[in-house]
Amino acid sequence: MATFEEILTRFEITRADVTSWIEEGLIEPKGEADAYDFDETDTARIGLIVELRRDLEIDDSAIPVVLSLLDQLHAARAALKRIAAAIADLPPDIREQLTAVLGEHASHDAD
Amino acid sequence: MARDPYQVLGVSKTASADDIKKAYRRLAKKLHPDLNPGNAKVAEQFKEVAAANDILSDADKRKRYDAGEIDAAGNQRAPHGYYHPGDPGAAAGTAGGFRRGPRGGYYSSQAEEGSDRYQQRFRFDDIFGEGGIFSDFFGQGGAQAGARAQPKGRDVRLRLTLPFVEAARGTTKMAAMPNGRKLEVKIPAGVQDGQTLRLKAQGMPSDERGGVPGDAFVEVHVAPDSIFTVKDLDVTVDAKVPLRDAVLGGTVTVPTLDGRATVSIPKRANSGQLLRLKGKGISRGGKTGDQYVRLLIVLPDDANDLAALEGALQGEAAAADGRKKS
Repeated sequence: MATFEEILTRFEITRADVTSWIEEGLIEPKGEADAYDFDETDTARIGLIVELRRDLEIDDSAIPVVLSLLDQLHAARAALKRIAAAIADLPPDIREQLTAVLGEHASHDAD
Repeated sequence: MARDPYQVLGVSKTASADDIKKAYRRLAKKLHPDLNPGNAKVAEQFKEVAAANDILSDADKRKRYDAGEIDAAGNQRAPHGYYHPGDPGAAAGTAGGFRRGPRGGYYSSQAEEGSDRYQQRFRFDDIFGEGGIFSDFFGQGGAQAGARAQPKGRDVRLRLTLPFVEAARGTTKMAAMPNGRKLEVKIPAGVQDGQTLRLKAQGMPSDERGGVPGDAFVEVHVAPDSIFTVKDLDVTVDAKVPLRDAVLGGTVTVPTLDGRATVSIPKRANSGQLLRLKGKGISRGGKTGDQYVRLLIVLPDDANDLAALEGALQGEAAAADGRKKS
C-alpha cells in the first residue's frame, strides 16, 4: 500500500495528474479523496501511465484508449489461460483431436 | 557480458542527449513489456534497452562509461521496474534514481494474475457468455445479438458413455439437456466409440415464433469391456475348459451379446483353439460379425481329481520309461 505522497514522489508526478486519472476512471484506488490507498496494482498501473506518456509519447487524450485495449488484452489472455487449463484436464486423445483440428484451422487461415 | 549501450540503442558515440532520448523512445514503443504481455523475448530485449538508456540518458554515467570507469553492466542499476526479490541488483536499484521503485514491476506482471479489478471490467462473460465467442460452443441458452439472430434454435452438444454390450446391441438412453430437459436418445446397434449421432430438431427451441429448433448432437463413448475383445464386427471371449472336457469333449457356457449360450467342445480340443459362433458378432450397416470362443484349458479345481490326474500321468510316465528300457 502506498499513500498519495509516496506515489507523487516515486513517479515524479503532480497531484493534479493523479486526480485527473482517478476522475477519468483510469485508476480506482481504495479510500476517500483525502486518504487514498494505492495497492500494488494501482501503483503498477500509475507506473504504466507514466511510461506511456513519457517514454511512449502517447497523448493524454489517447491514454484511456490504450489502457482499455490493454485491459481487454489481459482479460482475453486470462480467458485463454482458463481454456488452456480446461484443455489440460481433458483426456489425452481429446487433446490430440483438438490439436489436430486447431492445426487444420490454422492452415485454412494461412490460405 | 552486456552489450555496448550505444550499439543497443543504435546511436553513435557522439549522439546528442536528444538523439538518445529519441532512440530509446523509438525502441520502447516497440518493446515495452506492457505492450507485449507474455513475450519473454521482448521483455529481455527491453531490459537491455532500458539498461543502455539508464547509462546514456544520465550525463554523468555516460561520461564515466565513455571514460571506461564503468562497463555496460558494471555499475548498472537494476533495469528499471523489474522486481527480483533477493537479487542484489534490485537493492542497488533503490540507490539510483529509481523511478518506479523496487516493488513496482511491470503492469502486465500484475495484471496477468487475473485478480486485477481493472481487467475485470472486461469479464469472462464477454468471451464465454451470451453472444460471446464461445457461446455457441457451450450451448448456453439465449439469442445471439442483433443481426446474427437466426430463426433456427441453438444446436446442443451432449455426451453419452455406454457399456460395450449396450452399444453393440443398441439401446435407448435418456440424456440431460443444458436446460434440464430430458432427451430420449435411440442408440443404433453397433454404435462406435466417438461416433456422433444427430437428432434433428431436438436442440434448443427457436427464439422466433414458428422457427425450427436446433439439432442435438450426441457424442457416444463406448466404455471398454473386460469380457469381450472387439475387432471390427467380430467379438472374442475366453472360455475356461476343464482338461477332461478338452480331451473327451463336452460343453461350456459363454456370454454372448444376446445373453448366455452353451457351446459344444469337440474332442481333443487344444488351448488357444477358437470356436466360431456364426452371426453372433456385432451388426452394423447390414453386416453381422461372428463371435469367437477361445478355449483356455484348466486343470481340475478339486484336489482329489488333481491327485487322480497326477497318478494317471505318473503311471503313464513309468510305463513309458519301462517301454524305453525294454
